[in-house]
Amino acid sequence: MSEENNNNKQHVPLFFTDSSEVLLHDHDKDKAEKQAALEKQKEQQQMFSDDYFEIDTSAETIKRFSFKRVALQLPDSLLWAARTIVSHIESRCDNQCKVFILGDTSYGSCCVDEVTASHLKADFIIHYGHSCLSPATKLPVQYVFGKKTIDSDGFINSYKNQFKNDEKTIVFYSLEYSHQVKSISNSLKEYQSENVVITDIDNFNNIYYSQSFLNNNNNIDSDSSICNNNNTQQECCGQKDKESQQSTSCCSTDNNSNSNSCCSNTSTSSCSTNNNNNNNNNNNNSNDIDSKLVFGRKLSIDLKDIEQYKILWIGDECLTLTNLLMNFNKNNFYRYNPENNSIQQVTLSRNQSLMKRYYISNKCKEANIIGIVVATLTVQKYSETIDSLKKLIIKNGKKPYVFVVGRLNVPKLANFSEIDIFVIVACPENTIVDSKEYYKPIATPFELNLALSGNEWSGEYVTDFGKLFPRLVDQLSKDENNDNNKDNSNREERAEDDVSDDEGNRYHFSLTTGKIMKYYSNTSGINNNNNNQNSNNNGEIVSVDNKFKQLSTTGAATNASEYFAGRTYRGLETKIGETEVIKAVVGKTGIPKSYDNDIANQ
Amino acid sequence: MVNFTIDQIRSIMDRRENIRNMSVIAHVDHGKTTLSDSLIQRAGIIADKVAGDMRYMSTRQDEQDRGITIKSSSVSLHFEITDPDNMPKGSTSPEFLINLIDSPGHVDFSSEVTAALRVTDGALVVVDCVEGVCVQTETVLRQAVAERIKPVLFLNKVDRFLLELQLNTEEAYISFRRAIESVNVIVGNMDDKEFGDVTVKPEIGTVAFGSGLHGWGFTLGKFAKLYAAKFGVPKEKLIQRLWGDNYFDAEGKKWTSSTTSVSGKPLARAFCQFVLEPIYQLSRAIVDDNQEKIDKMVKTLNINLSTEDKELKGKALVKAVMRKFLPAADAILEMIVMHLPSPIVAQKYRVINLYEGPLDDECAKAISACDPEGPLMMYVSKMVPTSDKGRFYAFGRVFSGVIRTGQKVRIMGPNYVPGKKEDLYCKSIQRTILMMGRKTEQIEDCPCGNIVGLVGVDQYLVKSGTITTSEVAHNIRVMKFSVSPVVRVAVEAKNPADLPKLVEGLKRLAKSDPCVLCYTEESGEHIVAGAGELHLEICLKDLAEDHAGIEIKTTDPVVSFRESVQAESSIVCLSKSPNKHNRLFVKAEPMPMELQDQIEAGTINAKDDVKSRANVLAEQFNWDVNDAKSIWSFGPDASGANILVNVTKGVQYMNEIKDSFVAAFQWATKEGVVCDENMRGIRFNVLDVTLHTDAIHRGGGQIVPTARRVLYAAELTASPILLEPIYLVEITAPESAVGGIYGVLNRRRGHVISEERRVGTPLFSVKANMPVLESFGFTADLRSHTAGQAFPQCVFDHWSSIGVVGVDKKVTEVALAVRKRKGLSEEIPPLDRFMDKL
Repeated sequence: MSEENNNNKQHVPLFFTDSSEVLLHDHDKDKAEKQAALEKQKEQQQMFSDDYFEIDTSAETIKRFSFKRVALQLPDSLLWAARTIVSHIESRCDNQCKVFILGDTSYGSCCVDEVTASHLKADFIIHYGHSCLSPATKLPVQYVFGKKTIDSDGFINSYKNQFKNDEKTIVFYSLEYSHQVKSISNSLKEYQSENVVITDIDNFNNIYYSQSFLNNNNNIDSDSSICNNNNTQQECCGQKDKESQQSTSCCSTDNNSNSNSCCSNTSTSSCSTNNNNNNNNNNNNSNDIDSKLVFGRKLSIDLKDIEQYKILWIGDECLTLTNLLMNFNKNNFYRYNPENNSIQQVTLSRNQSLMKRYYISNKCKEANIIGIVVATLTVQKYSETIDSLKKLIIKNGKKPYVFVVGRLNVPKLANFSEIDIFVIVACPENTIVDSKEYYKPIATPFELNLALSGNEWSGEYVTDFGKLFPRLVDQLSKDENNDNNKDNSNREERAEDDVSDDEGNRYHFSLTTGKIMKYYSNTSGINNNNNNQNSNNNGEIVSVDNKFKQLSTTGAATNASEYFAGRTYRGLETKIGETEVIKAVVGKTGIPKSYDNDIANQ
Repeated sequence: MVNFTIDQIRSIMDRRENIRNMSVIAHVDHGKTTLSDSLIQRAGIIADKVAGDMRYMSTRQDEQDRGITIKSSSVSLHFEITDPDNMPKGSTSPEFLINLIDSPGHVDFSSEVTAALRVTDGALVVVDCVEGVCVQTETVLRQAVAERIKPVLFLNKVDRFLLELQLNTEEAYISFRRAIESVNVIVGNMDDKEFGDVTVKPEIGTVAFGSGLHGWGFTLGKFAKLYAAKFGVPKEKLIQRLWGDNYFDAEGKKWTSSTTSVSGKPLARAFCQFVLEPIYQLSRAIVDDNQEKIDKMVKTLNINLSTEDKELKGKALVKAVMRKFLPAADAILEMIVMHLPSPIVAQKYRVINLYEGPLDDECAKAISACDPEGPLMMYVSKMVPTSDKGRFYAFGRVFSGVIRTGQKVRIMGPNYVPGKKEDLYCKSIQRTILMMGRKTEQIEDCPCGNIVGLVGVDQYLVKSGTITTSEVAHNIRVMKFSVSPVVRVAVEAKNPADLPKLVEGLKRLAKSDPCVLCYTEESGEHIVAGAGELHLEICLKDLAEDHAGIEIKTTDPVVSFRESVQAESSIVCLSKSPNKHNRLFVKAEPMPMELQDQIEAGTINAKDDVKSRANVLAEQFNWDVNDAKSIWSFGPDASGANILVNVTKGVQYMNEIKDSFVAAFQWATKEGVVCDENMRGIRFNVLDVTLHTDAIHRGGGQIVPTARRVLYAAELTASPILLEPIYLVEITAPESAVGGIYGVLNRRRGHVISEERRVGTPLFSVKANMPVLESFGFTADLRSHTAGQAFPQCVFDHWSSIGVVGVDKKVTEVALAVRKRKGLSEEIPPLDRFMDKL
């Protein structure tokens, strides 16, 4: 994937669509469109002159750390600018570095696509557009949010109208406004100095801390060595990942998981060996800050105190806001609308969405077969989370399957009709999939944990599974202890309508069906088998392809096989011994639309 | 008040022939609970200081406050027959155990009555003799007879005739007769040979008269006994004379049926002369404060007044004297014991109604004989809250065998099918208890024929179920309620963090009431559905105060709609799969209403044999037999009134996509395209499909979403309509109120089907159809427009179209409102979202 190639690819479809539209439209429309296109072009030029893409900063950073291979990650909406950005950056850096444009991301465009970047052996990623600010695992990242301006006087005025002097507020803002935050915060502090907290966004990831460290120590060498490290380590990962990419299409994920684990292993190991000191410091540093980080935004107050504050959001309604609303569901939310310069309370049916999520959580309880969908390969601790989710599911007598399907869409998940519910492991902003189009509901790890751990919901909601992870581990270890101490104590903790029969199956009264539902089947025998097998496979992700294998090896009827038994069509009949044995013949080639050797084509 | 130890009670419980299980049923405010009070005072078994207070059976605070009964409650009474020669047939000792269940009278709580009737064999029907037989009396009576419950009648509030209305004796007699006739009209319709004649007749002792409030009452037997000595006629003969057109001609010293004496003087009816007159005279004397007369009468009637009573004046003295003269409890208890069947007698004919399984298996035989040696068969009819929050006593009747503490039993929910494991739980009984109004007493075991509470099975049953020890046992038939939960509201916790409490609360609420329906919708909304506005109000109050203990927000009542179509799809709808390699062609068309009803009633069923079902469809509904044979599925929930038919001919791979297509059909019919409501009455024809030759490109992932889209497209092109539920409203009111009723009905889009005068009453009964949507506040509205005289009863009747979506403005508004409530985009999805071009 060279830069040239990439660029062509991005541009070709644009050209095609343009021309075809021209053909379709009549003359007047054509004119109008041309006019619009012209305006758009002007606007785009304006963006460059406004330093919308912060090219200077990027170039400076690149020069400073002498990055050699830089990857640009742009959302579809900004792809038009890619070429120009590339040429700008390259010229500013005196052509010392190679700049790539990353293709379509496998997952949400808000996450830094480290995997693809690793294919290109990049040592620096510049991420453009909206971001969920999930910390990247290893590569240095610069975020370019773009710039939008708000009328700061107007904002201050409406702020004064809305909030009294002594009201405690936290200000969150849409990323495009981050460049204006300094000035706003200064003028806000004039109005009320103590009670307003303005969140801070860091434009760099993985680099910032080393930079600050570097400023203290003036140790450029050590830093560049990190980069070099990254470089070498990516080589090993890169190759593996290529394999994995090929294999994802057919959903067999053995390679993938291996390569992933390899990635994380090497990254930690290489870092620890080569740069122990630095790394440790970094970790401490980042941990410190992590505790006060709210979705990549730094807060100067303790998270525990957050309930006393009102939260003001600057910007449009977007996923980030929804995410904040869900996570801080006890706070009052206000939104400043930059377009009409007004502050309004966000009455977005938060209660309703919480109810909906709770409903899905309850559905988890009744599901027999749960599919874990991996929708991120960058967010920290994702593989550990998947492992503990799997354990949790097995512990509850249910069957987990792990899916890596790349970018989520309806047909992909609808292929697995035997799954009762999916759990998505994704970045905080993409984890809530609230679409009616999906055949089966999609839960978040938090919801699954809530349903299966038996703890009562306290009203909190966590979208960030990194925060959830320690709890998952706690829960599992606690359960293990309980198992050892026999479940006498366990019984006390159960909900009032949670009962077990003599066979050890557990039931509860389900409001979704209005019936007494079994939600825990005591299949200890089968469980042991599964456990054994899992340990043999050593963390192998069970894919659909070898599910059949597994069914045959386990022998015991799992729910998935029961499902297949109930289907009218069960695939091709094997008819062993009844069909004639023939030599292998050449299969189909080409694309499915019409294979090269289709009868029609011949 | 009799004071017994638990052991003594337990020993009476073994004598099944001396047990009477009965419920008290009546219209609201006819005095059930007050009457029950006087019975408890006389014969309640457990010594209790509070017994004898007013409304002992109203165990809840709001029941006491509102003065209406909301929950039925049971109590055991002890009664000993004083005249050992006069024992009912089959009884072995003069001691009787009466298990009495007091039930609510308001129509919204009819389900409580149903639950009470199920566990009893007899019913004491209380009728206010001034108001006569009312709607609810009729409803519960019909239900009682359908369950084969034998009724006896108590005509209540006779004191009002005397003191308030000042009716003369003949007028009183006519009122009595009218009330009795109305009861007999209802129960006499039953042509049930095994059950026998259940009409009530004063002359055989199945009717009592009196005043529950004043604590007096009598049957004709009481007076016959008084006069038997005087006339020198046997009691049995005299009773016949004391009712009907019988007159005593004092001049001729003989009984006659003419209204005049030999000399032509008008005669008073025997009932008036011998029964009512003494009562009238006595009370008049007291009210007029005629001390001399009082003393004389008290003496002749052998009433011993205590010194305290002698101090009393006026009405209080009437009460005291009448209570001594004609104690209500004795009369009623005797009537119950003499005329209501024992479990042994009753279960013989009730077994057919009770048992779902074959009548010759061991369980049926045991039930029919009420055999304590047989397998245990018990029916749990309702859940009673315990002091332990969130836990319930399973309240029910043991029909055969003995239920013991610690016994291992099979708990079978309503969905249990013999031989399968679904809805079947094996558990041990933790405790068996005796329910005594507000109190409970633990007992070791409970033999058949008794009513008992169980601890430790509540978690396995939602509302009701069967408990047995026999492995071959079928379920005891599920109760059929006369009301259905049609008034729905969505509830929400004020504080989102209370959501789990709300859910727990809803679960408890669902258990605590036989009729209420609690569920969560796909949108996360929690719905509570009740039989009527009052019922819902009480349920929500319980939910907020007891079950959940949190503040809740309630939406306006909501109505569920159905999506249907009016015409065949205007075009063949095509949808392409996401990979564009598969094309599905479908058309939708409406199904006749009768077919929809038959499917919902289960007469045409997804599980039927394909051939016979095809024949039925071809004969009754003119289906093509081949089409009828290739029905793929019914939906939603594989049983709803929508049909997916594969009418393709000779298309390859159809069997492969069937599962995916059916799954999509279930999904689409559950959440229709217009406003996410269930579909009803749509037949989808799969006309053609083109599939990719390669199996991987025609998998579920390609077919399921596409099939859903094409079904939606078919619905949208077939003039989609919304169906709304329609009530059948029955209103009973005096003639003067009929005008007001019409006015209210007109305003609420109701239209009257029939209007008729009720035989034997001055009341009119109006029947009308009214949309459920318009029924909120209907009761209150009707009351205010008829000066409280009209009393409506609403039952769901049918679905009716509001109009074509997208064409009719009103329907579209309704649909959009539903979409808004569900948090969907506020537009009817356009067709091009679902249909592709070739």
